[in-house]
Amino acid sequence: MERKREIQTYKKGQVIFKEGDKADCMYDIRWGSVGIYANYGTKEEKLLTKLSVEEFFGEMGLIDCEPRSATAVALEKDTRVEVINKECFGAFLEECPTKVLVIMQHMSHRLRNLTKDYVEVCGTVAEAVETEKSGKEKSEGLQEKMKKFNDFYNKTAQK
Amino acid sequence: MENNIKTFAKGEVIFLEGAMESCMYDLKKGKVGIYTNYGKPEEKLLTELNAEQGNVFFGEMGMIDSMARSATAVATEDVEACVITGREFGEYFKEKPEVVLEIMQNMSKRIRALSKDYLDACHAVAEMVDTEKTGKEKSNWFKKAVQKFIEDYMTMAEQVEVQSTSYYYDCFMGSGNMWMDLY
Repeated sequence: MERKREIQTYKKGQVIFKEGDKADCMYDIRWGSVGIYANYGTKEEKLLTKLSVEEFFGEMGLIDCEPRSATAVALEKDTRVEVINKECFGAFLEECPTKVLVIMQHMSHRLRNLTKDYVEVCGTVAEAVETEKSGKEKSEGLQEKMKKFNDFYNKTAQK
Repeated sequence: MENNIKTFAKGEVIFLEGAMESCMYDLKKGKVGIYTNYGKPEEKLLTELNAEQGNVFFGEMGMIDSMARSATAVATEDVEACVITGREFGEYFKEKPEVVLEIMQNMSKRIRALSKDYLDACHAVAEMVDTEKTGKEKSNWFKKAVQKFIEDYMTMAEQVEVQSTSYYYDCFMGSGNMWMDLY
């Protein structure tokens, strides 16, 4: 299978995609490096990660076409990226199966960790409800856990 | 590729819950039952896969991260299945990349759903902290939602423990012909 390549070249500081953009592809870095930012160009701007040759980004755009959750910016002059969309995914799979497996492994780990976290917070809810029913004082350990999840909620819900 | 075909007689176990095995299967012929607690009093048939539906795959999480199987697969009719390992998977799916995309889409849906549940459960904790401080009454949302969290804890905690770091999700493809053993 002949693989048609779509290579894009970016200047240093040039935006590849913006948070909130519509998405339908991922990118494989051929040369240079790319920064992934949250809140790019605002006061809360934060560099989430820096990627270089042979690394990829934007894979969730290829998978479920949800808007971009972060901004990708070329960090070097002549940064080159290959565009992988649904049409060329079969050829990419044939040529770079390991990269696709790595994406799936990341997702799998994420799912496992989320599951553990979810069970922990559900356990905390169950314990707290039980304690309130019994009219007893909440233990220090329970209060600590409740504080952790409360803080997380307040921080996330503000966004 | 097709020389990785394995056959299983009716009633034969293809893989056992808890087994470490890093491959997935492409069901070519016959039917496969997916069970938890196979052979025990709590045995439960989660789903039955039928080769006639076409493009039926199972056990892909084993191929992806080599963790223990979260359920048992049994041939409920004479079965022919092609074994696919991580080494062969690129070659195997190059002509049908949509299968791989579908696996990833399903994982992504699970991640999104679980992230939402996680945040909701944290919201419930926040409401408990708040009502304790202010003496306010708990919202109707809380009263309804809290049941789900307690039930999820009951069903999931045990499995997370049993499988040490894993929990089983029965996850079906949109077409209803794929089973994902997402722990």
